[in-house]
Amino acid sequence: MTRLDGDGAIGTGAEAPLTAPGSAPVPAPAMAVATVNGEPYDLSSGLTVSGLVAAWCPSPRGVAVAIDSEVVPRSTWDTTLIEPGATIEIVTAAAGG
Amino acid sequence: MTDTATSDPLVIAGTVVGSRLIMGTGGMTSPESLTGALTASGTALATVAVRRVDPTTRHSLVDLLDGLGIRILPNTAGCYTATDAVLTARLAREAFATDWVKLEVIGDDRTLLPDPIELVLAAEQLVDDGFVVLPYCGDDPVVARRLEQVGCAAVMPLGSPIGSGLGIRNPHNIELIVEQAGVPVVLDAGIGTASDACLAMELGCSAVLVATAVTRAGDPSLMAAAMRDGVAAGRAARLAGRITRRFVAEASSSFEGMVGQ
Repeated sequence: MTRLDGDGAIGTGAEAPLTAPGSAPVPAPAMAVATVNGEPYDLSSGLTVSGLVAAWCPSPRGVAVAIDSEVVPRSTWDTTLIEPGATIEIVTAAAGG
Repeated sequence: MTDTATSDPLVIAGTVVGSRLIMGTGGMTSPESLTGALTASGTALATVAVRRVDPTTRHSLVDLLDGLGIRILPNTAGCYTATDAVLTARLAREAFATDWVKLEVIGDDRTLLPDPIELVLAAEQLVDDGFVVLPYCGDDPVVARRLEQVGCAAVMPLGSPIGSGLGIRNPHNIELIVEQAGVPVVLDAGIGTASDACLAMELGCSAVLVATAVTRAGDPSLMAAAMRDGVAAGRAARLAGRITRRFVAEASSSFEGMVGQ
């Protein structure tokens, strides 16, 4: 993520807040990101597989999910959290075969 | 044409499928066109690919097939390795609640010919994992035998490359595969028109799988109906027992009672 510093330069990462001389700067928290279907996806706190599917699909019917190349059983969708850095694939049927 | 889906049904892995024409959905130009073609084909089983969800898509292929009462056969189309094919099959099982999978592991992106080594590896893993595996393979009788030995529920040799419409390039090999097989043989890939499907059945195949020849035909619904008739004609001809081929003539009219003898 890039941000403009006070002097107009492009900076990266967290801004340095005002602190007393001699104390270490506290970095701002980074946005949690996972990869969903090949693209970066910003994670909201406590996002489950069910929540992700609801955001991506009109219906959970005919849909499957893999996290880091492991299929997530439908019965665990409500309780499986999406972790930052995870690689997620959400798939369904397409014309082919 | 007599409908033999009930009197002479296709059976795979102990399950009565019915129609001996299996349809592929690849090449579909619109849901309406696909619906028309599938209905005209009389099929009971249709393949789908497994792909990333497109959030902008309105229609559901699953709903379309369910609405027509057609069983879904997921396909590992696009996979080049056993690892990818196994993951895709597992995703499909979860998505569509079926243990059946058409196993496709490609070795070359120009010809789309199967990689027999990765294919047999994937088939073994999937059979062990409880899948009913229908492998798309080359027309090599040795590979076909290997696939049956590792537990596949059918073998599906190609007639010619996917989408090529070149028909059955090596009918002799297809006959060899049929002769040795203890599981159904489904001619899958390369069918271009109804006579190709008819020939496959005459060679002793239990069924054919057709996609491009129908979905990309000038009139998909009409071609689907033609395929249905071609499969039925070929099957009946096979069951009827054809005459043997002769190098020279055999008179069909007796010489007895001829004038002037």
